[in-house]
Amino acid sequence: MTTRRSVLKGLAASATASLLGPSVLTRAAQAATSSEGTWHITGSHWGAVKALVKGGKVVEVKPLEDDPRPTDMVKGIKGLIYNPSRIKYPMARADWLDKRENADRTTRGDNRFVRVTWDEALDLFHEELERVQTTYGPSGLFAGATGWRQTGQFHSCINHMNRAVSMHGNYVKKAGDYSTGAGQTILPYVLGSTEVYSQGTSWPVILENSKNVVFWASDPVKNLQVGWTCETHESLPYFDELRDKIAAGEINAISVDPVRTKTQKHIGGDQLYINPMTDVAFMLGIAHTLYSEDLHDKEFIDVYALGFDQFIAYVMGKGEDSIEKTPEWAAEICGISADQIRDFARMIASERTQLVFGWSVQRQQHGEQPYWMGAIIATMTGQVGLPGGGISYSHHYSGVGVPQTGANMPGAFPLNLDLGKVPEHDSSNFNGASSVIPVARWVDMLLNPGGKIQHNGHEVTFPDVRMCVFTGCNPWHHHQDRNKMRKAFQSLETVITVDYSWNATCRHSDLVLPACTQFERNDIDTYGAYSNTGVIAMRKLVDPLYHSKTDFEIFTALCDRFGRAKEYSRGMTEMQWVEQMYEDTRASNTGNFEMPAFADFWEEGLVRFGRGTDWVRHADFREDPELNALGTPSGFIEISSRTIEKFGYDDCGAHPKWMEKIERSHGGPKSDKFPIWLQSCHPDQRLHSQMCESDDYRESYAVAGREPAWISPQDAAERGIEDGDIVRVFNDRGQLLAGAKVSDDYAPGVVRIYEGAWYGPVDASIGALDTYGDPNTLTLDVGSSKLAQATSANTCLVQIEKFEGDAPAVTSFGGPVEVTL
Amino acid sequence: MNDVLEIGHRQICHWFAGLLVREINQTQFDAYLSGAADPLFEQLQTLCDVSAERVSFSGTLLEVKGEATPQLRSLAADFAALFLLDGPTSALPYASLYIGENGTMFGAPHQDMIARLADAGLSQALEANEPADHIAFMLDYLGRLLEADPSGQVAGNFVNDSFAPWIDSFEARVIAAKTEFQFYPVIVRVLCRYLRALKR
Repeated sequence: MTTRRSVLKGLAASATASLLGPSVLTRAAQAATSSEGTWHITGSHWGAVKALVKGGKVVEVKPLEDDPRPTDMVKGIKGLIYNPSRIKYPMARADWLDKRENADRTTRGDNRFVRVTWDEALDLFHEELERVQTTYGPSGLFAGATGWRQTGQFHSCINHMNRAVSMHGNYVKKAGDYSTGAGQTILPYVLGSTEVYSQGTSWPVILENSKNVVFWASDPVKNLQVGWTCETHESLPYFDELRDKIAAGEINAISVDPVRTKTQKHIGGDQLYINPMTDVAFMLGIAHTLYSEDLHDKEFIDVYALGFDQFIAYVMGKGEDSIEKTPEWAAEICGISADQIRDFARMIASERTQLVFGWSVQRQQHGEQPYWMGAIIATMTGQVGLPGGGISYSHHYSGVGVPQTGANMPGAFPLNLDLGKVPEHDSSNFNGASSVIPVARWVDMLLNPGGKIQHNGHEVTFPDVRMCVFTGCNPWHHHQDRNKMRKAFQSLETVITVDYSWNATCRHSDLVLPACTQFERNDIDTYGAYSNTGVIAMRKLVDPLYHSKTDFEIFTALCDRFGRAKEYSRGMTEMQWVEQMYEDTRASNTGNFEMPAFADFWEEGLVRFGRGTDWVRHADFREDPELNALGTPSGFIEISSRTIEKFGYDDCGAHPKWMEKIERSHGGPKSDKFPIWLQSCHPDQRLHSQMCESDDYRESYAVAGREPAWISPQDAAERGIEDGDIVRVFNDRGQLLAGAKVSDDYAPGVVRIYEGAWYGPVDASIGALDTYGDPNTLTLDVGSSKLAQATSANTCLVQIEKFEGDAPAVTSFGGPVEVTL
Repeated sequence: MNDVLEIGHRQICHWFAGLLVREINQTQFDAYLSGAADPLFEQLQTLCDVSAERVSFSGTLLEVKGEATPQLRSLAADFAALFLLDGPTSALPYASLYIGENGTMFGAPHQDMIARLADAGLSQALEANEPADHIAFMLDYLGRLLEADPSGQVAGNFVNDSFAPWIDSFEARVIAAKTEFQFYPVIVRVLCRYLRALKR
């Protein structure tokens, strides 16, 4: 140890001193800290949790005691807060910062960012909004994409971004979503509402009245782990009751699915395998049996439905294709016997049958058709509106089926401008283009400005978008065909993203603003999205980490750039908003549900409203179809739709039809080259892409550090693949690495890679190998049909091979990469 | 203006801390070009051999000077790629990432530094809510230990306990990272030599 010091004087001293800069530490009084820490209640998509905060850190997170079925994913919350992938400071892409719209766009995704101050970042945000509005008008800006924002009614980032950007100017918006695009478009024509986001018949009613429960491409035990607002998990114990009734022979449950699901394994019952994407053929065979064996409820159809004759003519071979949709015809396509089809039809017609559809089946080419056919099958049984009968499209979602209390829930931070207010740039001139596009077609929009598509009875002209704003939304997870996206992003001059972790959307952006997580802000939320079980206080657990801010702070500061911060925030602070939202809820429940004063609520953390009331979907319509008419054009169930027929679409006509897919496994088109169907359904251990970055938790399910690719023993053996191997999954659109999980839950020709796996290419080139296993590297990006133009992610064929050689390191996440010293 | 500047461990640590927590500005870069870091290297040389790195450092300064990008943009991008982002291009300067709770931030080393700083009556002087185990805080703290105890015993123990377990991994990641210039990799090599020399 040396103790020698040197002394500099004069200019030399000044020059060297300038290198040192200010100290990063300062003298401070020692703050008192509790050695025991404090437990706080907060809410999340994964349920209500208690968090122990000690020394300014969340040291433990566990489910709230009254959660009847906590999800395992609670284990991932700490890793989400303290993940090295957190965005720490506002960052700008280096080349873009210098050259803006003239920057090299081919280098997006190469990680060359520089730090900017918040003031610089927000000035840049504002300058780009100004530039685009004044240069291109509202058609130059797309700010419509939204996703599963963090929970909390006040800080909901969708609302904050929309309100702030709307104050500045108009912009291109989206219609629909990726979850249910086809379903939410077709069902209003058939049943009068989207159905996918509607409350369903209460589980106690189903358990009491149903003799058959058919889970059709639906896996609620997997998907009910998460909710749109704070999830209560009250729905899951009903599956225990269902399991017991199945075991006792009181209920018969069938899972129509190419995969043995988590739900089926939990409740027991039977799986009816049919070939992927052949559901409509199967259902047409069922309809044929119901009709030809006189099992259909003619009186119900006469009173409650329209268009049966036109449909049944098609089924019986008297329609345009002159093909009779016999069970034998369907069996050839579906991979099961004609007798199985007949038996299934007889079963659902003979006793009270609740059909429960999932959403994956409509995320395919012609995804409108199976949902429409499902409604027709339910109508033919005459059970729509009966307790424990009819059809549901939502029982796997956010606690649907838990009896609803009827209590009013907190509102949200306003999404739009206040009444009478107009944007700074109030032009509505979209240069002849559309101001709203179907959301799943936004990449087509970027690649084909001025192009025209049909959408739900209208012609959409793609605007020439030059700038995108994303917040709490990861399109580089939920959109299809990564390499197509990479090309499309080269057309954008500016991409601005607000998020809390360095996902692929951030990496492909020009300006990245760090929002804090929901655990670093105060908020209020609905407890039970459909049950309205209660209201939960979301206490800030720790201060925003690094230099992140709440969405409220970020967008208030943005609005300040054009002098409208006070209008944006209404001059209120975070806690004033939270308290007002609570007091408004309390006032609206006066006389029906008692709620404590705000201070008590905030201390207690949760107010509950008790058990809700049992309810039967469509019962009111069944009771009086004129007084309680459906929202369809006729007010009745539309088995055939004149409205849709008039659109004249070749891929969605007057009634549901069997249409071959552009690619289909098990003998379908292109299966000779790529024989395996890739299913990319919602994950079991994350919420879409949320929590994928939580390293410890990811390691609990990853295989060789990669996203699992679930494959049948037969397919694995044929390819020399063993459980735990790294595999390359590929087709003409892309390639990825994944970890093989060999399981007899999967039929030959079927592979599952859950969506939400973070995209991590080896480099920024188009066609680059994805290192972690994002299935949307491979999926097809075409509209479901001219009606919905929804995602067709589940129409996707691939080939799989064992990966030989040194696998490249995963590039998707932060955290240490092992190095050899 | 500083008329007199004493160069000792406190200043060396202060210098490293500043380099690893914020990007250099034009004034500082011009000062480097004029040889303002020479006294710092000379002081370091009394403890460990950094002559080769000093030559590399001078070379990389000239390369940066020849860079067409304005305002040291490429150097700032190197800083971000190493110390601010994540993933394979980065070498985030937090002890927790290398020795904490399985790679999460704000781990045990953060808690340890919180306690050390509190005992010393110190706190962060940054605007951001950074983990206390950011290497800059640790270096500033180390400089203060060295100043307070010229024998270096306390500081050496701190280096043994708090730096030694992870600086090899940190240095390896910095060297493996993709940067346009060698400015930061050279600085980190010098820093790691210095810290190894302080080990007891």
